[in-house]
Amino acid sequence: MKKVSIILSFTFLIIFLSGCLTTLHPIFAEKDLAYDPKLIGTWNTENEGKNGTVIINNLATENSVALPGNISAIKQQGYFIIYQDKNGKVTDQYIAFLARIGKHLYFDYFPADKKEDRKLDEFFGVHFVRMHTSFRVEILKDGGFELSQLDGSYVKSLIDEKKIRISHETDADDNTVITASTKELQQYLLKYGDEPSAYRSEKTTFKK
Amino acid sequence: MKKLIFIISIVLLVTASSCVTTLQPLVSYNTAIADNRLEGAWEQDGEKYIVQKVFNSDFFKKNQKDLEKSRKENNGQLSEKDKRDSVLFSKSYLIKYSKAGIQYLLFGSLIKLNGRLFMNFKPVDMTEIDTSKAEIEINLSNRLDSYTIARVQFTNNNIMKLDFIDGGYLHDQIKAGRMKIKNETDELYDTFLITASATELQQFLEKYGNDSRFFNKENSVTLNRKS
Repeated sequence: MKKVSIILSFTFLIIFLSGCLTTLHPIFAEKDLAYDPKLIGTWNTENEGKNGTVIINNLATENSVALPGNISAIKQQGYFIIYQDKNGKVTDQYIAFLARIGKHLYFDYFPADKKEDRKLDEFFGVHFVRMHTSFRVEILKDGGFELSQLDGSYVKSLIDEKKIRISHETDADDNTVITASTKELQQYLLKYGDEPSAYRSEKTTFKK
Repeated sequence: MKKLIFIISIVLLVTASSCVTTLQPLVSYNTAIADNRLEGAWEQDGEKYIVQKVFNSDFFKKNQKDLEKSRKENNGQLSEKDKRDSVLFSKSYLIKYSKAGIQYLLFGSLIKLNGRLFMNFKPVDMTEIDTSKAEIEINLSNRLDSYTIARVQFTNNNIMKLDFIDGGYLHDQIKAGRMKIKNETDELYDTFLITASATELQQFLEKYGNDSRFFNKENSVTLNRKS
């Protein structure tokens, strides 16, 4: 029994689901796309004192990334976004789309494989379901823009307090997984898009 | 007791993308069965796989201190979930293998449904070993970990066949309305995740677990015992 009681939760693989809101479905449909060519380029970013570089390309110009599902059909209106640390190392890559939902612009991010990810065992990798993350985009007067990430803990608190009905599942490790459809997610954004608590407090500023 | 066979193989490189994944486990603490024959070293096409019971595993021994510390921080108490997990882990296995300098660790649990064995797999750890033998944990951001399911068939004590459910076939059947199981599908990003509960998964496999259309050759792996 001693042995048995020692083991605690087995979620050793990090699931980065805390904090930011991740969803199984995208927040946009094709009709919502609001591609803006001015976002293409190399940007210096700042988030709570941390600096980095982000390269934004048109998705159609990226031959190195494998596009999932039917994304090819709308790739002209998409972005390929590469995050680099201060040493120029690629930290994250995303397939992204800019969409107008209500009065706000939002980015929908979907993880794309980094070069080193491609050497991972495919069987092991199939266990990871890629999730969407979303940001409200505010275009600044100086030509830059700011991203405010949707906050997962806010949605969870609304669910826990029974203040919202949004499709979700609770997994075996008691994580809340948002399975809401695109339509449901848009209803959420229309209702809470102006609510400051619906976003994480820190913003990422992009300047050319 | 004679040890049985087990493991994943390079063949899965071809088949992995068509495996079904589920949000919930097929096997829960009160349905898991232990089978000591699974323990040991297995091989296929030069790839070596080590199967250990969770509590006998290198991973458990390595992390035991941290786990005990974590428990002490909680006044030595285990939550009800931790207690259930402990029972599940006591009947489950860790599967370790390496490919291209990366060490993988999967968690596996067995269940018997209508006399047939099934196993579900979940990722636990992924570590890159660099040239100085240092271990670097690999984390993939914005991913949700899920389970795969295989039917387990033993030809004899030294040969085991794993038949993974063909996701393409299942997806087509669900889309055509010929089969029903709770799922989430997104055609734009080609996302397909079964969200049925453990009980629903068990009922589904009791019904279709012997249907050969679910388990085509491309999704099957035959493994041989090494020791």
